[in-house]
Amino acid sequence: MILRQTAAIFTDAYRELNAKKLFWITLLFSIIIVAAYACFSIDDRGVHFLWFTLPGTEEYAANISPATFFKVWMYAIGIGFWLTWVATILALISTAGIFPDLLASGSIDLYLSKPISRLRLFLTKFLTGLLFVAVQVGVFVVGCLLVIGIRANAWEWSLLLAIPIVLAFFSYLYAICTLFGILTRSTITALLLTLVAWFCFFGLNTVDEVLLQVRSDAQANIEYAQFRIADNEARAQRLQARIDNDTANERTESQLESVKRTLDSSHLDLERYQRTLDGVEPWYQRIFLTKTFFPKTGETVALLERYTIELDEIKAMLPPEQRDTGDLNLEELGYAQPGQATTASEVVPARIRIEMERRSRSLAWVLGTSFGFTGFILGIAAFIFSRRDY
Amino acid sequence: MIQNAPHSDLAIDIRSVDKRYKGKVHALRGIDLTVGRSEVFGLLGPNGAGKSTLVKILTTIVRPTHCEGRVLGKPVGHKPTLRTVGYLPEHARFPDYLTGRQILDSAAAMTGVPRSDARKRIPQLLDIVGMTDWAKKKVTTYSKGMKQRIGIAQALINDPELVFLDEPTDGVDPVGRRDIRNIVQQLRDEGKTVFLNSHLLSELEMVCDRVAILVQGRVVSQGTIDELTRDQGYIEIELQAIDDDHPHPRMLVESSALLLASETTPTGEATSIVASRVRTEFILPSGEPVEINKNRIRIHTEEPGSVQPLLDALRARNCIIRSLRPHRPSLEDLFMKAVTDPTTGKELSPGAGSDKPARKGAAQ
Repeated sequence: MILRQTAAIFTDAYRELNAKKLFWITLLFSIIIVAAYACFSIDDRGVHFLWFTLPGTEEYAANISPATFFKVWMYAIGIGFWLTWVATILALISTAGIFPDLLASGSIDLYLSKPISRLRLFLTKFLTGLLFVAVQVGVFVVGCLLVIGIRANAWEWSLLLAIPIVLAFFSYLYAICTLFGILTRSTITALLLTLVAWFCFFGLNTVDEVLLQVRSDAQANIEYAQFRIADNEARAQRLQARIDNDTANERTESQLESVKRTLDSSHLDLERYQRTLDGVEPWYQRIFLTKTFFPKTGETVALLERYTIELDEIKAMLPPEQRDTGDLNLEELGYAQPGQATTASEVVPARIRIEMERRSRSLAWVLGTSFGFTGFILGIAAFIFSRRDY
Repeated sequence: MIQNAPHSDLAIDIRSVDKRYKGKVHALRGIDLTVGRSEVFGLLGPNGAGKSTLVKILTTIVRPTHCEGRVLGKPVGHKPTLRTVGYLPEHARFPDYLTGRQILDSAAAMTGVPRSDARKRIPQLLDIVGMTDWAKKKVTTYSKGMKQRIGIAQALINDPELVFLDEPTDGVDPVGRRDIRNIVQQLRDEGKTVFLNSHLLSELEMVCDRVAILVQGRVVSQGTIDELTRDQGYIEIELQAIDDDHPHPRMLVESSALLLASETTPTGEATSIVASRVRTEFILPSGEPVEINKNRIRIHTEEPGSVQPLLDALRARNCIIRSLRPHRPSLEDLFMKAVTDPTTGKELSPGAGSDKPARKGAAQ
């Protein structure tokens, strides 16, 4: 009987989706986006849209494989923008009414007078709310998978991870929406309060991103400054040797003075970057700790990038570093620090540092604590749902 | 662990049911109620008396503050028992995107009716409630009465032993009401127990075997309609209108009573009988109270033989009797009596009452 009841609730939910225009509009947009995505192609000559070549894309195309190109753009536009922003808002609008409608007088009575426990009814109804997103993401991801397979000849089955990842992301918000729906019995109030909560998570995530950016920039700049100092000290030693050996010409002394001024400036830069790093680090740790207790919407979606795009692929897409670090080796010059790069090519750019830091955050932290929050919220909602008189 | 109770003749046997909502509304105050199997039971009461709360407690929708007793032999709140219980809530609300047939299909699944049984039963029920032609149309196109019909069908989908119908004729036209009455009678004939909540007392009177009247969270009376109306009937005599040629009925009755008394008790006992009158009330020598209102004489008896001596006495005084009608109280009379404060004669305030202390400065 349990299966029959569950199937009946899901069948009703499917019928409800079928009856919603918004569901079909969202699905139509998903198909249009996949179709537009299929119109792109990439080869040595650049990136093409249908038979037009996009100007200035030759260099970009030379550094990226077709499979990476499609994955990156699917992640950036398809997942990062469409599914996790627009489609999620549309999904929340469509599903926010599930619990308020269920709790309406005359409706809840019909369910509760049946031989089904309140907890099971609550959980099954919650899962039906995820059906909207499951169908939308399923159609979109399978469409993208086919496009990448056909256009880039790469069958990236790992992209299917997008379905559970986006579902997990939506479940954080939908749990909040469910709680507010049960508390207020109002669709519009539940929706607005959920959007406010989402905005708060987004704000917390943005602060974390900004602090991570500042921290990573500071770390990279410190290493580059160390290179500049090493370079200028070496140049100063060479110029001083020429003066000492009487092989200097009339410009050598002025060159030495200039190098010493640059050296002083580099020392000041190093101190400034170190102060920035020291100042930002405690805040970064505090925000990281605070985030532990809340759902990690950004990190959850970024898991797809983590598991489908290698760091090297990201490095290949970055523009070349515009820093004059010479061809030095800090180890040879006696400036090497434990854990730091010893040659310029080993210095990790800030963008990669950010990505490495994100990827260092464990799955248990990203998903475990987010599900913990979701479970806590759902627990409160389930308790109220089960104990309330209707 | 729930023990299986021996099969009882009672479908519902509850005692001391108490419900106090948050906010201190005391909806039910120690309800004791029994409903026999294969019985149509009517629960009546004014708005807010606690009727729906009681039904919701019996169908596990509301948790009682205190409750003893059983429904179909199982403790109140036992979820699996609901497989054999049907329920139509007041103002049932079905999803607009479903058709009538889909509602029944869904209700069948929720109550654990096997698919094959549901396939047979759904067309039968649609036929019984007269909704076969509308089965494939969405609920949003239904009238209120049609929704009630589908609501009744979904309450019967699991072939229940006990059916709760909360205001089943609400919004239904006279033809529909007759159909619903027929369904209720058919259910009783099939041995089902039907528990009806309704404001339409005449409807209940036509189908109910037993009724209970609920006022301010208390059962003030329960029993068969015969039991409740027994000894409350009267016979009313209407005399020719009063004018110069016809004396006032009070005088007629008084003198008739004296005459009757002197005929029956020549020792003078009649004097004391007449002396027992209170305002316009008299007591006949045979013991029946008499009320007089203008030219109407009401004798509180259902026995026609009791009024014959008075009629003879009135006729002996050349009184013209325009009509003589026996009267038995209706359910409405019982109901109105139950909801009227006997001390003030005013209707009791609606609702279940509140336990909140009176505000400071409120009337003492």
